[in-house]
This record gives sequence, structure tokens and C-alpha cells, in this order.
Amino acid sequence: MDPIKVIALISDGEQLIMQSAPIVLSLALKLKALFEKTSLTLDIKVVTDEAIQADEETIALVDAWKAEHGIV
Amino acid sequence: MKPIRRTFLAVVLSLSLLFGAVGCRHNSNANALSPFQKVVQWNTALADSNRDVAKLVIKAQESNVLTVDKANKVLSVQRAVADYDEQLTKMLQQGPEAVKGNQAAVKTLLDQIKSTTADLLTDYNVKNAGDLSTAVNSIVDLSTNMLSTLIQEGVIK
Repeated sequence: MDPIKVIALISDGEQLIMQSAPIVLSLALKLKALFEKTSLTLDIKVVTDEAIQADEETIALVDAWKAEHGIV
Repeated sequence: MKPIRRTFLAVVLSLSLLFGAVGCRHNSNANALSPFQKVVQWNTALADSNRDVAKLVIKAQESNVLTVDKANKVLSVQRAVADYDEQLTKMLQQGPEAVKGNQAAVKTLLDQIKSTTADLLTDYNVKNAGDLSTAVNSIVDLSTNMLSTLIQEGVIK
């Protein structure tokens, strides 16, 4: 499984701590399950910027190729 | 951060690394993703496949397997798909409720990605082009799966 970026929101009522790290999703889900045994809660948000990055790379590749061949 | 809290987080993170490693080996969480999370993962795979197609087409043109004209036609499709997918990703990032609120736009984007890519298989004859047709078929399959899952989950009607 490829590493993904997640944002973990840890809540103990009023205080929130945000952490961001590359982590496999299975690890994040294990972590969430562990928090369910405590008085704290953990919300996992999967960041989908990998898709945006791939799309922007595609656009840049195509635009550079077109420019190289004089295609508008 | 309070010392006790820091210690607690350190213990939990260590345990999760230990258990996570075991979980990865046995792939025990493969089915733990929600349908929406699967859609998000498929979307990343779709964007990756689309980038792969662009790279393969450029490589084929540079090796004179494809003419500049034919490569340009295929790459124009890849650029359009990347544009559609970027818009789609921004909606998916906002979660299922936001997708529900924009369901017509999400459905249109997925239909456009699917039909534009499927045209490559017929109009530009990439059916028998090995890796290229695999990547193109992957985009069609992923967009189909994404749409059908969102419909099944009631996110899109």
C-alpha cells in the first residue's frame, strides 16, 4: 500500500491538535481504533492532493510537449 | 503540550506502528475503507493512470511509433481529462455531503472523463497498444467504479 498523507484531529473537548505526516491508511485506521478505547477521539482526513499533483503533472507534460512541437 | 499527553501520544503512535506493520502484512484493513474513501483512492489511481498515458504517448512519439498529429490528438484528451479530474478532486476533498450538494457536476465530470477516454479506444485505435491500452482501460474502469459506487451509496442519484 502506498504511503498517503493524512491529517489527524485529536480532540479532548476544547483543545485540538493537528498533525500531518505521511502514513499508510491502515496505520491511520489502527490509530483511530486505539483512540476509540480512550476518552479522546480521533478524526482521520485523507488528503487527496496526490491526485491534484498527478493532474498538474499531466497538464505540464502535455503543455511542454505541445510547446516543443509548436502546437498551440 | 502537557508531558502526560505527549507520553500518551508517543505510546499510541508506537503501538499503531507495531500493529499497523502486522496489519499491512496480512492486508487486514483492505476492506476497512468506506465506499467514499474507496472512491477517493480510485480517483488518485485514475489521475496516475492518466499521467501514465501521457508519458507513454510522448515516449511513443519520440520513438516514432506515433506521429506528432496522432500523439497530439491523444495528449489533448489526456489534458482534458486532467482538467476534469482536478475539478472532481477538489469536490471530493470536501467530503460526501459536499459531493451530494454538487452531484450533477460530479456526475457530468465522471461521464466526461469516461466518454472522452473511451473514445481513444475507438477513434485513435489504442486497443492493441499494450501498456497504453491497459492505462486507458484503467481510466474507463475507475471512472465507472467511482460513479456506480457514488450512486449505490446514495451520494449521487
